Amino acid sequence: MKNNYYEILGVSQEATQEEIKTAYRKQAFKYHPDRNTENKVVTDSKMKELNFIYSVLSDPIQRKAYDDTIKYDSDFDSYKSKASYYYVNIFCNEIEIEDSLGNTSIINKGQNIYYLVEIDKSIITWKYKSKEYFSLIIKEIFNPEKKKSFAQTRKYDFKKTPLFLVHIGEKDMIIYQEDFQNHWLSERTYQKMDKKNGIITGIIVAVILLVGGYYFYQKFKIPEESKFLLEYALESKYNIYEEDIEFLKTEYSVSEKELKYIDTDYYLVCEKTFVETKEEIELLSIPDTYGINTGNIPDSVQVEVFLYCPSKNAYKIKYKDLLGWTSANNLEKIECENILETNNENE
Amino acid sequence: MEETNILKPTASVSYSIFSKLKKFIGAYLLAGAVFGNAIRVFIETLNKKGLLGLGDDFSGNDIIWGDSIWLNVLHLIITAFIAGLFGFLFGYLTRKVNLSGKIIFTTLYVFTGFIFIALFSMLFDIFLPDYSSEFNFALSAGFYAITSSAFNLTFVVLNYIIMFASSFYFIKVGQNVINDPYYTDDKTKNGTLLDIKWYHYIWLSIPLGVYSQVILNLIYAVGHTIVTLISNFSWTTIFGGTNEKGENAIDVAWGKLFFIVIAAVIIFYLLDYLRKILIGETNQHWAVKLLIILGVSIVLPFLILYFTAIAG
Repeated sequence: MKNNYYEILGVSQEATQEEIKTAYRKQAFKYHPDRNTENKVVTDSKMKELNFIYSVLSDPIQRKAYDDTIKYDSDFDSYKSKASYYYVNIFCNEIEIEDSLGNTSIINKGQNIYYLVEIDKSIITWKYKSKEYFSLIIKEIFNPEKKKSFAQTRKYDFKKTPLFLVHIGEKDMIIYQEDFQNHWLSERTYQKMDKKNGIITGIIVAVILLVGGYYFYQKFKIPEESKFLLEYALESKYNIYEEDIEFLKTEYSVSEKELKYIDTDYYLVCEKTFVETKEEIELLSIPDTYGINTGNIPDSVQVEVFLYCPSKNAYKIKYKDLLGWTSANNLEKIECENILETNNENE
Repeated sequence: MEETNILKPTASVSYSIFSKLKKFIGAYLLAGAVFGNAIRVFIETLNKKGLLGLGDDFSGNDIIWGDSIWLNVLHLIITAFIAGLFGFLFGYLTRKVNLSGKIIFTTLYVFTGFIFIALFSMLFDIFLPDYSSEFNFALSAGFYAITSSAFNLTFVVLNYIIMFASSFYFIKVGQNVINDPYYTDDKTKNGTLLDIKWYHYIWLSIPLGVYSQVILNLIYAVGHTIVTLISNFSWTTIFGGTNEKGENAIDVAWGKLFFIVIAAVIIFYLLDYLRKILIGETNQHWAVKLLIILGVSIVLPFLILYFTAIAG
């Protein structure tokens, strides 16, 4: 198991910045997800880990801080392996602490902490640096009040105060209080910054929408002379005349739904012909077997036929108070007309 | 140091805007083309059956569904559902989106239609100036038809507000699910859903669209069968009574339900097997895999659409 960042990069602790950069590039080349299509699971998380490590080791101040912590990390490992012998509850659920921007907030177990990472990026030949926040979830919070007993148990004088136990890549890592306060942000601070950036973005987006809306208004404005024609077309709901609609509604009990279909020549009107039922008929709410049963008409009775729906081969019929649709197979064949022709004849 | 399965680390994240844009396309297609289209086709089917009465020329893509408040409310609910689904998938696939990203991508989602309209209009103006005035007038008439009616305008505005609110909220839900420390799926790879990479969903949107239609139709058929069963319930049918075709209504209803369950189980297993092939869990020869992929994603949906009624 590689224990520290230097071992992961494959350099010594005394390596120069140039050596670290070369080692990082070598590792990044090796683990880049585009080169390792077969094992992307490992490479994705490995790249994330390498970017973070490089951002720490390439900054002399952070590197110095990290160097100081290496020996404590190994000591912590040894403590955990012998925890059953020297049990001390060194963790707590929350802590109030100041972060690198000087904001004090209560941090709970399970929350994220954020670290600003500069990542080298390129679009074709254009190379640029992108600032992004790297986040880690807090697995455990060390109780600072227990530092002394923790140190006593291990017979070790901690120069830094262990603060959080986090998970990075494939291992756990301790974030020390001094490092946290120099380089990390709490979730609350991050959210505040995110909110501030969000408001600025929101204003920019709103301005773009207003400009876009104005463009659309100007581009697709209807000329005054065309408005009259459009309004006329919009007002006439159906192609059928008003009096015919009234006639259909009163004489044939045509509903608004059916009118829309008649308008597009979907149903035919039958001349209220009376026919006798051949057997007991089940009435449905629509001219389709998916309709809901609205009642049954007994055998050998006279029913009025109102409409015919050719595509479903069904009649709309009436018997006493019952009104509904039935398959055309249940009745004798009846001649029905196209409603638009009926209109012409009425004229 | 200690490794543990609980409190899994934050899912692998790519912060690049282009990476997010790719996930946006995946989520947009999956939510809109797959589920959204299936719902619209289902609504059109209901209308063709005469249940909605929106006329023969009705299209599920219409922004206003007739003059009835309730149908337009139904449209809003469907819009909210699809936008929510998009938001969830986008949040889940991208793993982490900051507030600015949420605002940008939600706005992009809501106004994609307008962006395409502006783009086409510009292309017509530049390359086909003869047709450009005709095209622009058709669009102007459409806009006028909507904005000249207070009823239509209200629902259009509500439509966009609900789209924005729903997708914005569900991006957060999607992120919370994938970043939950105790949630263990899709953690190690960036841009995966059920271990399948986002780009597979671009072509999968075609077969999944058909299967979604089948599922919606089956759900409706189950409901209808149960209603029919209850509304036609009589003791004579249970004890051997028959309908006019000589069939026992209860037998027919149970038969239908049995068929529906069988169809649903077969589809579930086929899709699960397709998923295993795509994520490399099976060990067949590549030619066999290709045949199965083509069979499940192209041949079977085609057969279902053209030779059966189970997709509506």
